[in-house]
Amino acid sequence: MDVWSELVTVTSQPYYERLKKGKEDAAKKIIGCFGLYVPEEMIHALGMLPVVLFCGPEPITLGDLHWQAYMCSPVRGITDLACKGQLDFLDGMVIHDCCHEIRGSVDVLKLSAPNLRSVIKPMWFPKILKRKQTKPRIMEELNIFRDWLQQVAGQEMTAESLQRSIQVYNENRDLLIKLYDIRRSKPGILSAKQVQHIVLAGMQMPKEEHNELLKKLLAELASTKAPKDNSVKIVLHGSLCNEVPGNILDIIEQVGGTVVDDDLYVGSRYFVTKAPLLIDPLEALADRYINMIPPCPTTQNPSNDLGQYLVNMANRSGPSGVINIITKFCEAHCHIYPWIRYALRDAGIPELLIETEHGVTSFAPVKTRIQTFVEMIRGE
Amino acid sequence: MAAEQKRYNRVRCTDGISAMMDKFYKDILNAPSQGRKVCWCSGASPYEMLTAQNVANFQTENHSARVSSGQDHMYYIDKAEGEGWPPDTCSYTRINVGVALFIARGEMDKVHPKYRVAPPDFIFAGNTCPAMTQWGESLRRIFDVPMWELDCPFNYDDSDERYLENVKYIRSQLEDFVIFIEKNTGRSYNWDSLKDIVFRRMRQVQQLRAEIAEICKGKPAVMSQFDAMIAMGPAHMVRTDAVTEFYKKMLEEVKERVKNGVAALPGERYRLMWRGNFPWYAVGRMSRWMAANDICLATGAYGMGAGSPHANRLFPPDGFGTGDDPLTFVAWNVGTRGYTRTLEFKMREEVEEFIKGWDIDGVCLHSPRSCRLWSMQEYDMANLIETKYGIPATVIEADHTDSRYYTPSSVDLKLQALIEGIKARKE
Repeated sequence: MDVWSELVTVTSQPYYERLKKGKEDAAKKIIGCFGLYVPEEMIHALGMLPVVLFCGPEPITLGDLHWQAYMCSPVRGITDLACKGQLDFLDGMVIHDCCHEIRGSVDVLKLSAPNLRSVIKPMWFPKILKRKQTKPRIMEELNIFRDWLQQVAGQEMTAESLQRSIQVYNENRDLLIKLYDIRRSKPGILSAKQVQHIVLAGMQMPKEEHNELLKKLLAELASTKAPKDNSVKIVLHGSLCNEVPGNILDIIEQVGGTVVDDDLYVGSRYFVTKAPLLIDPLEALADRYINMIPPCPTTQNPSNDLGQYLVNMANRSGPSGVINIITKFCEAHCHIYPWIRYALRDAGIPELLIETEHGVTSFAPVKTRIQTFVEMIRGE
Repeated sequence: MAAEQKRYNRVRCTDGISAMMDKFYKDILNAPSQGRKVCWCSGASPYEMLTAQNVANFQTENHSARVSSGQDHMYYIDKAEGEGWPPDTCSYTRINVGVALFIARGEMDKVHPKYRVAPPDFIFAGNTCPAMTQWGESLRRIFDVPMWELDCPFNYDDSDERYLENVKYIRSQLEDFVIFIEKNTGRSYNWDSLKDIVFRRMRQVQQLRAEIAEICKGKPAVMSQFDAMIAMGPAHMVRTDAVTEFYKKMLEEVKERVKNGVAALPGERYRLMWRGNFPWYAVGRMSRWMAANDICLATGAYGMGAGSPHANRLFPPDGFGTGDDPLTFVAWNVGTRGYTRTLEFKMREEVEEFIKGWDIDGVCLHSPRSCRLWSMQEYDMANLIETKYGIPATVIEADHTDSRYYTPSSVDLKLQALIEGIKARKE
């Protein structure tokens, strides 16, 4: 099987279907991760498989018994899966409190999904990153989390095993960073959808296996010539805790755009920050959170501005436009959006806002808007 | 149901609130001319720490509610949305950002005189509601002034041990806040004033409100939730002796009503509880509709909270902390709120206490479209209320200050259905 086929095997069916089937003949425990900053390395260090949770492709039905339609689709969608028993295969479910809805989902899931009640573990990290109290408090939370994980795994976590896991994760990050370098230097060598598949696969399969696939893929890409390209360069930002609908990625390319870089959750936001190698590996994970590279609207660090970050990203890619993709009702993203818009406008970078909603995004008007945006940049 | 011209019998003392709040905001406007620094505060804030240092301060949510109560919210919302704030951001924020954009750009004349405030010298933001720090961040950028943020942990673990750790975490940050205040006011912190506010004024107000709430549990209710909500502004922000006097008057009045048999709603048939903030632009309409239908909106944590065990814990138990340490008390006050507590805690202390204490027939859960804090978990709360306490509950979908999300006929219909449910249970 070639690299691409192997990756597609991982992402072509809903992850819960694949993992449920695999679970029948594998002893490995699976921990679902919901929320942005679950330290997956700790789960990995205990020989368990961390899996980032997303909505399923089907319509949300039971989830809407617990959430108003004006709550974000990731929370409604995960609740929906949980109510339908689709997540019952999880041995643990970590919910990182990164926003209102995800915070509220802890109790809602405990009520609505009895089979998950005993395996849910909420975790809270300080939201203000650069303060003397921040790191000690994160260390407290990480210690509590370690105790819980050890109970689930039935074994002790050693510093050595955690150190090894950090190395595996950092290797994965390095490989993805290289992949993105190639995409920037050879625009169009991979479609935006392919890149999303690649990153997504890594969020839902063992990192060691993903690393091997990435190495093979990078070797192939190194010898592949860049396609002839006169398309408009696009940088994508947004979808802060879910995937970008594949149709939107296709549309961008259909109308003459090429995605050359991104600041997406299923994209560079997930991997661009490496954990430092420190004597205390828990401290390294705390540092990774505190020193996250992509500014996050759910945390406060005025010296790390999201608008400027996107300006720099767009400038690094050469003349390009930025498409902001906001998941409808993502309050954290909505609050920062005006400042992203101001920053891009002041830097003379064209910007387009697209809102997406699970199952109800109407792609025809989205296509018209993206097409107009691309033509406007091209000067047609 | 008959639409009679029946009205709530409002307590007279609330007539003075409007003048009190007018003066409060006029003082904020005039603060710079008196050499006082100005701080805009978003989120549940330790206002007392600013007041103690003679910093003019106000809660931006309160200011937005004031704008909406005056039916002027859409003018400022349009301004913010026109600049890119999406309608899915908190409507309190959009109103305040609209006001801020006018003021920061030297267009004070475009702000109605009633809503004018001086621009901030600095911003305070607390994240008991996560949106508040983002709101504060917008204000920081709009005015280009320093900001200080308070990080409030969510209490997933209701154990006392973990809870106390969280209070200590907040207290530790407040020590830094004192340094920030000193730096931005240019003088040493006034600890005596803080102690006076915390240990005397706040305690007095708290005790008065608790006594009032206890009296209001009687049947028929002598004071409604509408009055209690209107009276919230002074209780939460204005740390002056005038507020103590106001609540003393309120206490006298409710006592007198009990003595003279005066009810908030003569002939009350249904006693409802309200959970959540209120569609401030619709207070008058909703109170008239409820009165006309013999519905007494008797209580709710948002307003009558003073009588609940939750609010009693705004002051820590004897022996906690260092005894006379005001920062511990401030940290306790901020950290104990229901905003950072589990559903189980909220059900126990912000719902059950009121249902039982006020002998409630049904519960209205307000789900403001642009406010996640109050909206989340409400469907489950409604189910829990019905199964645990055997009374109906309804989720009213509207908004606190964006009237575009409020459909009177739909709200009326939901309330009618709630009343039918109560009737069916009573029969």
